[in-house]
Amino acid sequence: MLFLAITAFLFANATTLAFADAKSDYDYQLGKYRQSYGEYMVIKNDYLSNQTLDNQQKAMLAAKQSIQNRDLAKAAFAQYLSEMILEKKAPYEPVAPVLVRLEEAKNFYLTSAQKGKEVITPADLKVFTEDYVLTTDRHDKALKYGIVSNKLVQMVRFQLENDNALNIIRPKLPASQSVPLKGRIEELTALGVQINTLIDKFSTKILPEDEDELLTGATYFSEKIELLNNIRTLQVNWIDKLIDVDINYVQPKN
Amino acid sequence: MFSPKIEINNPQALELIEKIKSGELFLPIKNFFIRFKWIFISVGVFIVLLIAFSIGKSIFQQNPDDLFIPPEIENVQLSPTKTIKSDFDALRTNIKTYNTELPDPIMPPVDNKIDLEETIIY
Repeated sequence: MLFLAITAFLFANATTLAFADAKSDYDYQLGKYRQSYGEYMVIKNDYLSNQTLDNQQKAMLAAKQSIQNRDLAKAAFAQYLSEMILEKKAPYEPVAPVLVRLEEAKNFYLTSAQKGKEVITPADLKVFTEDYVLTTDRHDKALKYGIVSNKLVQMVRFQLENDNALNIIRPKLPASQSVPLKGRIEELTALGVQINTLIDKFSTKILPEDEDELLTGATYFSEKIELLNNIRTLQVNWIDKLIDVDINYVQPKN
Repeated sequence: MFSPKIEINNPQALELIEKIKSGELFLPIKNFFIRFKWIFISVGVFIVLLIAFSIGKSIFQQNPDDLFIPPEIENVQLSPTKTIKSDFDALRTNIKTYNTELPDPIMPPVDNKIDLEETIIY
């Protein structure tokens, strides 16, 4: 019996633990990248001011280390975003493609980190970086989609919790409902549908139709903030109405 | 009745007596008072005001007004306001305080162009 309880507890907390691990792994990898990038900048400047073979070799090693740490940090970030989305336990179909893209991005960064080790000469490094700048764009965008999806999934989570709250209240309501109470329940249902529609509308904006169009971070994010705020305002409005029903119709009965 | 007759023969004394009689001796004092008459008048007015003020104050202190004490008001007992709580207050707080700012978390600030080329800043 105890064994079963422990197993159930571990299983229930597995996602949360994975999320915590992903966060600490990302922090660790980003810290390593920052350190190696600082060293790379110093050594590169030394090499550019005094281009000896020895300095070139040192600069190559520092650049390779930075590349490896950068891509490991990005891979950890992609994993962290995926875990954050899954941790909310709010399965939402439109986010599934974003999770796929995050997985692709993670694999790309891990492969790139491996490829970075194989760079030997400055010419190899130049080719590698030129290729990387072209190919990483698609995967860097996936990270942006992941950031927005994480917020959206939280909104879906709130919707599920709101729905659950209404289901808790329903059996406690008087059997013969008065006209005002019926009106309030209908309002809650209608507002819930409105919020769901808004969430669906938001989800269509996560992945742009034409990904090649200029997608600067500031523009992409700023247009989403207003929509998120609208959804949140409606959700607060919804829960206010539910609390009103709870206080005026459920609690006086008890 | 014996009344001694004093004869003054000293020319200096005679001159002084003459000056007193004609008023010549008091002329500088008179001029001094005329010259600073406004100062003397002002000081005089000020002294009169001070005296009037002190007299008024002493009269006021001798007859203090009766102290007004308002009647006691009954202690008003506020009826305790019952704070009605709902089981869903926590959910409401979670929604209301949820951070909708983006990007959150922020993108890792990394350099995609790591090479040994000279960086040209435009």
